[in-house]
Amino acid sequence: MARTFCLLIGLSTLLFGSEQFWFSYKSVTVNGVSIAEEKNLSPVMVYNQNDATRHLCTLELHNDGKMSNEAFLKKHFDDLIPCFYSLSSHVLAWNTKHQNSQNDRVELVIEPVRFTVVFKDEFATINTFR
Amino acid sequence: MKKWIAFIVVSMSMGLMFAGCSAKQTPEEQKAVAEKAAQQALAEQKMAYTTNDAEKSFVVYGEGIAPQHTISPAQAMALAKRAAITDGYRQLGEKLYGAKINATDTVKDAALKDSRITSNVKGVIKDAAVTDATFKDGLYTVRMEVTMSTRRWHELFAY
Repeated sequence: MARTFCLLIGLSTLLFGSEQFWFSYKSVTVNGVSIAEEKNLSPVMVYNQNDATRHLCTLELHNDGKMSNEAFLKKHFDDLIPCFYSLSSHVLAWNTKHQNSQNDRVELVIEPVRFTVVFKDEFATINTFR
Repeated sequence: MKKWIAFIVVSMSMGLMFAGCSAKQTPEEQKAVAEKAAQQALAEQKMAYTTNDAEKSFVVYGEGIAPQHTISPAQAMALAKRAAITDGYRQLGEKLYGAKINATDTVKDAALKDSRITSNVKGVIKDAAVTDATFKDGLYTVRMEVTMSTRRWHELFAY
């Protein structure tokens, strides 16, 4: 009985449990034009089950199962970015004015953050770890 | 007796009158009065910060330009949006942390030969929200806002 119960828990975790990923992003603009972007998304190597999660956002995204969650999220990376802007974003800016010329460079970095995604119905719910 | 009392009262009032007329504040006294008034004004401002406004908002408008060499108008718009948000974050950083300014002027033979100004901003912004966005004539504009309690703002940024 106990074994069956444990197996059921394990099976339900596999079926409905959320996957964990790392997310980080860097954007570089020069004189108001975006010149470089660095998009990183990868599955976590070490799971941490104990941390409390914080709801970040719910997106209108549906993974029909033809793609892995990682591939799906990478495909829709641009939809994910606004969710993570509210987290700690690092800003580095340099503005140099030399006589009549001006050079303005801004780097925006969203530091690596662990998150989970749950696909349910037509929506993807993104939660991050506190 | 009454004459004496009347004389004393009249002489005191005359004395006070003349003292009032001749009273002239020394520069030290004027400085002390000005300092006291400034301190009072500061205290009033502080009271206004601590008692009236529970929250403090910082609003900026970030602007980004659509690059010319893109594969589609959608990509140009997406990149302009990224640039606008990045600019908005920079402005928030300037407001919250301030900017480090370095300026170098070179003068030769009493004439300005070279002038360089460099400003740097470095900071971490949390919980900034994009509250509005418009795209017109290749310029993407976003309205960004950070709201925090005044007490927290005083702890972290007021210096």
